[in-house]
Amino acid sequence: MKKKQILQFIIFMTLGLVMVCTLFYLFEKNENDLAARSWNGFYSEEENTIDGIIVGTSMATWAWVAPLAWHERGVRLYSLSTDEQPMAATIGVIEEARKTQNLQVIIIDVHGIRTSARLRTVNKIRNLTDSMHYSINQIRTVNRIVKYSKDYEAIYGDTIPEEKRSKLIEPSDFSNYLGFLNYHARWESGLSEADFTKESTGIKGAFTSRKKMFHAEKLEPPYIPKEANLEPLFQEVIQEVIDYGKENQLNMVFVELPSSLPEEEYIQMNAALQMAEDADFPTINFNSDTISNEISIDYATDLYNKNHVNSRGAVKITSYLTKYVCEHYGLGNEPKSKDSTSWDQSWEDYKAFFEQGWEMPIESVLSNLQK
Amino acid sequence: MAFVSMKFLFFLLVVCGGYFIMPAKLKWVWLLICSYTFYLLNDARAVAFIIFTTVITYITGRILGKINRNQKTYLKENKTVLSREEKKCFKAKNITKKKWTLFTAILANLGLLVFLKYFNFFAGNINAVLSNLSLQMEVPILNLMLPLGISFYTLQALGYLIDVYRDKYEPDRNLAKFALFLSFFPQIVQGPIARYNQLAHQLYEAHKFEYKRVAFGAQLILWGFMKKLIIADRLAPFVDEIFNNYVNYQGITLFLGALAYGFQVYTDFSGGMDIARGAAQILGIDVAVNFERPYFARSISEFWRRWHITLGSWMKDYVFYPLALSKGFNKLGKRARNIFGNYIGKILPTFLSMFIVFLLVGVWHGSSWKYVAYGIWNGVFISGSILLEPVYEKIIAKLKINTKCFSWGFFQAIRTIFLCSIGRFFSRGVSCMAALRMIKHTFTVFNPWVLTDYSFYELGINERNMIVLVAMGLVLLVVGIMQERGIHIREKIAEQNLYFRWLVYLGALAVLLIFGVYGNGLASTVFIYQQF
Amino acid sequence: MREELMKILEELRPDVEFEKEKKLIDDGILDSFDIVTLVGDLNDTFDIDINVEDLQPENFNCVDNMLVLIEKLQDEE
Repeated sequence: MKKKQILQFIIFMTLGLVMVCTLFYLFEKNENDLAARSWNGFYSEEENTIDGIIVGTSMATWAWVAPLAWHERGVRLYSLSTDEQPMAATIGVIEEARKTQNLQVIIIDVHGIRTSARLRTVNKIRNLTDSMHYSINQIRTVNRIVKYSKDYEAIYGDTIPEEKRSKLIEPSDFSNYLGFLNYHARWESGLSEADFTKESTGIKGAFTSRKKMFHAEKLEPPYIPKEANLEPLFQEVIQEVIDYGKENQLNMVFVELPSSLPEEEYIQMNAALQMAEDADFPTINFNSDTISNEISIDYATDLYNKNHVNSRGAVKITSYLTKYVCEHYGLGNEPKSKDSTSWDQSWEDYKAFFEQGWEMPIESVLSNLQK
Repeated sequence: MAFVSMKFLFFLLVVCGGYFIMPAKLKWVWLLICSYTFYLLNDARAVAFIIFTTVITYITGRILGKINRNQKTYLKENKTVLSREEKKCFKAKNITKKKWTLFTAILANLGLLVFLKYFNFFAGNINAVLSNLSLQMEVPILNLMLPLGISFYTLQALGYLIDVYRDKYEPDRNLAKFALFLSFFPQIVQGPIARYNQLAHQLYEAHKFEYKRVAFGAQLILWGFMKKLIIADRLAPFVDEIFNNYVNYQGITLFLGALAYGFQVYTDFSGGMDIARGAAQILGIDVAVNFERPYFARSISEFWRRWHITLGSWMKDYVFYPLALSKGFNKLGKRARNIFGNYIGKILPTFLSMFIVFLLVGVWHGSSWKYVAYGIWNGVFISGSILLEPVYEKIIAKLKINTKCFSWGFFQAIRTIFLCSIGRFFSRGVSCMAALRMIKHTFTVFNPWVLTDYSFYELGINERNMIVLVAMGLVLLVVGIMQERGIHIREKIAEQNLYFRWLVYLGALAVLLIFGVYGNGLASTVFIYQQF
Repeated sequence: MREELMKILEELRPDVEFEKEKKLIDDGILDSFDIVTLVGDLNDTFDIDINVEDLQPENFNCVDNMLVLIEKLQDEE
């Protein structure tokens, strides 16, 4: 081969690589998706400006109002949670966050360990892994989830209903790692501006659905049994997270957000919280009488449904947790020298959202908390 | 592994990389190792069968070659000594020896193929007859597997044996090299059926890396991928819906299904061929062309000279000519001349041989009555056209039709596509009865509004996908027209400016990546011909 | 002999200029039916026995080659 040909070939391959990478970049999960925009927002934050993260299922997404934490005490805490996010993904999420941020506290919601949330369908998992940037950590996260799914199926395979079988994650599916292999088909539905610009939510990941955040289902506080029991496979998952936290000397707080579920679910969550306590990690159970009284959680007005809080509940929980991390981990003491315009703006936007929906000033809810 | 997959591309990369690194003497050994690795990766349990055929064919070839050589030397040495009678006697004895040797080998190889492929078919039919006669006996249905490529490599081996029998060339003297000839991996899945004198020496020669040739091969592979992933797999849901649920459809809808299947199987099969040829081209080996714009054909006869060319060519050399020129058919022709007149007598051997050939072609596709029907359908048309040729000519003359103009050629092509599509009912229909029913319902129901009310957009291809299909189809059409005029596309592109070339290659890749049907449960459907 | 051959060829395919063409088989001018019919006629007319092995393209690509084949087969008788 002549020199000229070799040079031409190299340039051609480079161009090809650039083109292919551009296609991979454009044809991702729909960037109008909440999870995508939330993660985009996280990635766009300046390095070492984020104080902590909350990791959990959609419960955590709905329950955490980052703008409020900022407004009240200057705490920058992001929610990196997606619908039915498996607990097996927690380590991967924390790793990803620690790449660019020096996390002072990591709040983990244990609802991800309960029975009904255990079956991980492809879409739910992909919500998370497709939102992460391509990296070794992303590959490891997918692998961890796949391994967990295989272990789960090996033990509980027979109990999985027929309709759900076809939606289980397929281990050999390469598109788990390279979303393009699925999402190229989006040429049909079209790519929007968000796919090109990879915008983030302006509101720091807070959930602002007008339909849902102002609705309250009249629920009862759940009955929390005394028992605590968790099957071995799921104990392993929790233990992995605990060990990871210990190894890396992370400040992890295990919480149980407010919900109104059947008794059996709480038996599992009790066990999870117990494991955390045994490892000397602090736990906060919002369903226990002490705490729910302390912040006056009203199950009749603060929950959207048995699984999620609405914006009233979210405000109460955020306020409490923010106070907690400040008192225990010394957050919020830093001067606001880093660029805070986007955070200030997010607060203005959230406040407007909240007050428009409830037709009452947000301060009235907050002041009630300072008993 | 399927051709259209990342695994195969990776495999190919390893094969080609290794090939160019190997010393010249060992290159063919590397190809042999790779071909058998490919076979084992795809169908490990059945590798014994191809080894069996290879060994039997090799030994038989050597025996036949020896007889041929001995005959030549004997006759040469004793040219002046022997009388004409003695020479003839000697030759005749050898021919008998050769015939028996060849017959044994054919029985072994072809017998194996027929057994594995058709035993259950025969058993099933015999059982049906037995149960109709209320007899309690039953022929067991065996759990038989069909080894990868058996329909292809068996024919390739038989062709080789018959050629050696005819003393066309010397037999191969190296079992390992011969094994490579039968198992060469680009061809093992779905052909083409190679001729020994065309392929073998290419396999054994060492080919160096040559940039232009390798680039052409890669481009051809890309083209094959595009045909398969953009057109064939896009048509699949529509075709599947119509053929698997044919009772719900009638009239033109059914016909559209058959037409679509024709395009699906063409792009699927020829796409696979392009990948095979491209892969071989990278290695410096010219593999036979199997398709030459079949939808430009003006008659069913011509269609079969443009479709699955190597199969038709194999049938011509090893079935048609031997039959048509045989003593038996000759006698038949003479007798027919006495009864039916000169014309019929003359064409009868051709007519019959052609019919048998197409029956075999039909049945070769699979063991089911629908393939028998497929064979009969094609046979009837082609034999019929031979018979009716003078009649056609008279009609054309009477109607004063100009047969040299474009519109006539266009009409002929459309007519051929129409007739072929009917044949597709047999090759894709789920059974013979289903095919017949579909054909009946196509012609007894007249529902042209199906074309205008856009209802077929609900059947698996929506508007956007239809646009992609039509666009890619037009590209195919333009390429086909250029090729008919003798333009070599890859050469043509290579002559253009650098920027244009790169735009074409990268653009094609982008189109394939975006519009290809893959991923998310839309996995590229397994090659239709792979089951043979 | 040449005249007889030309007569057979012209009757078989009056549209082909056999004197000019040098690649009757390679260019696909004569198809398989033509070949079979032609072989039958040649066998009858020249009392020879053309069999399958003789069906090499070279033997039928042009008129001269066909004459060579016929002569060769007649010699062998």
